[in-house]
Amino acid sequence: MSHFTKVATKINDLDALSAALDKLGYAHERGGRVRAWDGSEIDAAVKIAPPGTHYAIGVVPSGADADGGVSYELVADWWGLETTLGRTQGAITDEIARAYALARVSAACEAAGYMFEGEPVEQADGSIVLIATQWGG
Amino acid sequence: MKIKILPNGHIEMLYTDAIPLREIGQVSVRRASEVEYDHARGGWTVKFTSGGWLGADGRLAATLPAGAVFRTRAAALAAEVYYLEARL
Repeated sequence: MSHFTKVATKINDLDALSAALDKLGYAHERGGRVRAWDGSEIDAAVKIAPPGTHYAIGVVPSGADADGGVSYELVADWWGLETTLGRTQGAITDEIARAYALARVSAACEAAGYMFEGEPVEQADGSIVLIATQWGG
Repeated sequence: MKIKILPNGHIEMLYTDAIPLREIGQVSVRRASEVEYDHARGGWTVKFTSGGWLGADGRLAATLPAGAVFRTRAAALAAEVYYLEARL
C-alpha cells in the first residue's frame, strides 16, 4: 500500500543551492553582506546577485532545526528587487526554491542509485516532474 | 518513482525510504490505499482511502468488481503505484 507524501523543502544544503543557482544563471558567492528591506546590512552565508539588478539576495540562517541542523531563508531589499526586476518577491523566491528542490532531490536520488528517465518536464502549472528508476530496475 | 516539484519548491510523491526525505524538509504522510488479500476471491485487492477500488483493468470502480483481484501481491502493488503516480 502506498502513502501520499508532501515535503516542505527547507534550504539546508548550500552545495545543492549553489548547483541550483548555477542552473538559474545567478552569480553567487559564499559569505558577503546583504542589504535587508529596512536598510540594515546583514552577514549572509551565500550572497546571490541576480542578473539585471544591483540588489542582492542573502541566504541567512533561519534557526536550528529539530534535528540540530541549520536551515536558511532568503532576505533582501525586496522592494528594490521587485522594482528593478519587474518580478514579485514570491516569484523570485519560488524560482530559487524550485531550482533548489530539484537539485536537492536529484542529488539524493543519484546517491541512492537512481537514474532519471529523460530531462525534468515542466508542467503548465509551473511544477516539474521527474521520473527516477533504480539501476538495474 | 515519480517526483513532482511544485512551483514553490515543495515536493509531492509516493513515500519511499530510498531517499532521505526528512533531510530535505518537513515531511507529511497520509495513507493512499490498502492492499489486502481477498480470501473469497482468491487474490489481492486495492482499495483507495479516497474511495473506490482498482480494477484489474487499471480503472477505478465504486464497488469491488468481480474481476478486481490481482493474482499476485506484486501485481497489485505495481498497478496501485502506476494509478496513484499518474494522478500526482
